[in-house]
Amino acid sequence: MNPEQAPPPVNGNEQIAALIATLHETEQRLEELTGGEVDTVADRDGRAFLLWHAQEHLRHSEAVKQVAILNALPAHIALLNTQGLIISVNESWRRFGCANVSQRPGYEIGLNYLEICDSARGDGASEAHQVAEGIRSVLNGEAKRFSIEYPCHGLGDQRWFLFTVTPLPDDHPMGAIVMNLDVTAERQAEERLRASESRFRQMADNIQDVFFLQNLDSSQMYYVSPSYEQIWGRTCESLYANSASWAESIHPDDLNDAVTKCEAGRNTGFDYQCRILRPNREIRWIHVRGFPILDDAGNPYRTAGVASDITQSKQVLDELHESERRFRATFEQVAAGMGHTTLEGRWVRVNQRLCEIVGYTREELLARTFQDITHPDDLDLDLVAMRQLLANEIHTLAREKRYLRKDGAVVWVDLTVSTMRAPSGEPEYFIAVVQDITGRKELEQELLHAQRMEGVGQLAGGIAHDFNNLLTVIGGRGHLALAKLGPDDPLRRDLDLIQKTVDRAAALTRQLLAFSRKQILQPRVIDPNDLVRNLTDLLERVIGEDIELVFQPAADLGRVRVDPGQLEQVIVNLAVNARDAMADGGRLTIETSNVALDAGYIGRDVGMTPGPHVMLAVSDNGVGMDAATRARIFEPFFTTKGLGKGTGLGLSTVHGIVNQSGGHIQVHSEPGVGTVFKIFFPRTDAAPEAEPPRDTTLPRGTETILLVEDEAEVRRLAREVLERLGYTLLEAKTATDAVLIAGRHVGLIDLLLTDVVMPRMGGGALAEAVTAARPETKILFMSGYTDDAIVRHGVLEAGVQLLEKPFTPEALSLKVRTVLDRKR
Amino acid sequence: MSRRVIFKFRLYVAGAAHNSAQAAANLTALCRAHLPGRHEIEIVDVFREPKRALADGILMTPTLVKLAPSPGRRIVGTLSQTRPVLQALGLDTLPA
Repeated sequence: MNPEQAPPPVNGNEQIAALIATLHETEQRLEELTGGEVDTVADRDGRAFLLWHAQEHLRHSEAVKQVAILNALPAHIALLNTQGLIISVNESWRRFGCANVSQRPGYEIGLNYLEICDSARGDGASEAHQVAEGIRSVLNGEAKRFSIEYPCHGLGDQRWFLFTVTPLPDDHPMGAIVMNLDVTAERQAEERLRASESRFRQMADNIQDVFFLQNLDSSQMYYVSPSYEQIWGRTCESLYANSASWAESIHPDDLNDAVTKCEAGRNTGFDYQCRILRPNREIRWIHVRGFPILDDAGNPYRTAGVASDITQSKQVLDELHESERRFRATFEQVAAGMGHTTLEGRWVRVNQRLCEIVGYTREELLARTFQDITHPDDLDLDLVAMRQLLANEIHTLAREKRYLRKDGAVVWVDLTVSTMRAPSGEPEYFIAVVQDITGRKELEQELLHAQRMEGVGQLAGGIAHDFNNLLTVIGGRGHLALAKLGPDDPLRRDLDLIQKTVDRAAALTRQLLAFSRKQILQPRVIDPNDLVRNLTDLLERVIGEDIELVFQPAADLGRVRVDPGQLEQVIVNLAVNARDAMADGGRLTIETSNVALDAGYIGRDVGMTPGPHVMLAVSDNGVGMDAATRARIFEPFFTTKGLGKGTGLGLSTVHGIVNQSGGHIQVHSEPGVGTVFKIFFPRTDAAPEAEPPRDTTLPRGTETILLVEDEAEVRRLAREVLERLGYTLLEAKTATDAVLIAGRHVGLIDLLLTDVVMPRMGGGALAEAVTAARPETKILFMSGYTDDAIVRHGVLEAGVQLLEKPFTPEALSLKVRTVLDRKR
Repeated sequence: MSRRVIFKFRLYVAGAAHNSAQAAANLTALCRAHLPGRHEIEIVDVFREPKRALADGILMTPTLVKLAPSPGRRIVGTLSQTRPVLQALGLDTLPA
């Protein structure tokens, strides 16, 4: 209304009504003319006049839309006037019924919101006061906007609200719009995110391993945890800036493997170990595991990984490996056999040496128990010891025992067994250390044999001494008696028989002395081929007609220095044994050859020296011997022949002679195939020596002989024989007497004929004493066996003359004459 | 008639009034269908620029003024009836 116009008159109402009617008519007419398609019409000044239906449409649609929008908002919105009165609220405000300090139920239009906030008490009062302050500052125009977020303790749950105050959009504030928005979900999401982030940080920052995320397409490192800096000695930033520095840090020798595994595990994950080089050149071992992260389509686009520093455990592992390797090497390379068995005895770990000792392969041995390979005679002791070990009654078992090799041979071992126990004390397995002592056992056997031989030899020697004296007397007297008898005397036959028996007894005594190596050898250089040839007739008689004798002499055979009589004895003894082994006939082969024995061939054999040798082999194709028999054949009195058929001295004599002659004997035999004895003597280059000539008539003499013999009968026999042949005899019963006699006697003493073994003073010492005073006196010893006084190692020393007991008058006279005739 | 002739229109409207909004929507649709790429539309709100309406002698909104090509035309209304509008604008002979 124009204020300058005068108020309308009383009847103005009618005029106004008329104008309005005109206005309506005009509008209606315009609508009709424009078909309702026009919004405005303009007056003469160009002022647009919005037609009524357009105004109505606009008004209607705006209001509906604004109300709908306001009511659809989740925020609780209220309009306050400048005094703080609630003028209008939206649907959310109306509905909200939370026990809220700033908006309690019933805060409806017409109430003063400022007063409500000011009067708030208790929980949330301080926020309510802040809200009131904020509203005032906006209403005053001091602030364009105020907002605050505050918690609201609802029933059973905690909610968060964002409270915002904005002024009504006018130059002068006409009021304010307050809005409460429930931001609980956002706050909770934030909280969850913060908690999740915190959990992740706590893990990533505190776990010593490195976590990482890497994009597959660009290889860009997406995330790496701070432990990277500790392990790699590089900053995380440097890795983000240059993802390739990961690969660059890997030791060149390990890079290929790492890259290959990474590529291969792109879709499935990977696992590799590598060394990394820290900037300070220090090397660390890293174990990296990666896992693919898949997108919604199931394609990997990123890798999640963990990298651990395993340097220490790797070192421990390496040390363990090294220790294991050392142990294994020790186990395998130790000279002794070593093995572990279960508590039942099954081999579970064995070294190569053990396999060699028992002759099984590793596989064969692992399929067996120690019981399987133990000699039956040794098993009981083993089982007892096993129980004691398990019961902890003994800690270690150490014994000698026998295993049976796969080939059936017996092997002697020195066995040490202990129990491996768990920390709890429970026995777990047995540890066996096995030393092959077969060689030592053989040496022991040999030594035992030698000792036995020595013992028998002592005995035999002692007996032989006395026995030879007796035989000398019996034989000598027999000779003398025979000389007194006429050719047809009936006693002659008896005396002949006595004589033959004495010869056999003397031969037996010699054999006893031979195997005991106590006999006196008179070696000379001979050609063994000649010796065998000369022996052929005798051998053929010995072996009989059913056995063929084959002699295969080597050409250019070397010579040896032996006692030819003794060697003949050896060959005859071997031939006799061969004959007995070929009861149904066969072939006896004697073969000679030159051989060079080296140290390796000689091996453990005692008393042999390497060098050129002459071998004499006596072989038969008879029944042969088993190993047990073979082991005992040289033992005295061991015989396989029937009672009364063999003395058990044949081969022991052979053994004794050969050994005493500096030779060596070997035997090879197989049941059903035959036996061969090989005899080795050191070869000599000296020329053969001729046999001393023999004279059949008893030589006579007139020289003076000092006879010393403690055995009266032998002394008398010798005196009678020598006196008859013209010699002058001085006689002494002991060496002491002899020294006295030699001192008293005026004139020459041409020969000292003395026994060797006598009480108090022996023949050797006596000879020295006599020759000291009478250097011209020659010496002839008599002995049944020898001692070191006149012989060394059973071999007569050069220049020393010896008459073997028992002796015949013939032997005595020949020997005495020979010695007297020697030039000094 | 060359296809490159640009049709220039000026539409007078009354703010967001219903018929004006209809006319603007119909004009835009018509130009897209029949004059793609060769039309220019200027919309003038008579409440904001009453002087231009006065200068153009616009008595009512919505009013469409065809400025080019000649002959010029004025069409009042919502432009809802497409065929008479096309005829008035000389577009009924254009190839489809």
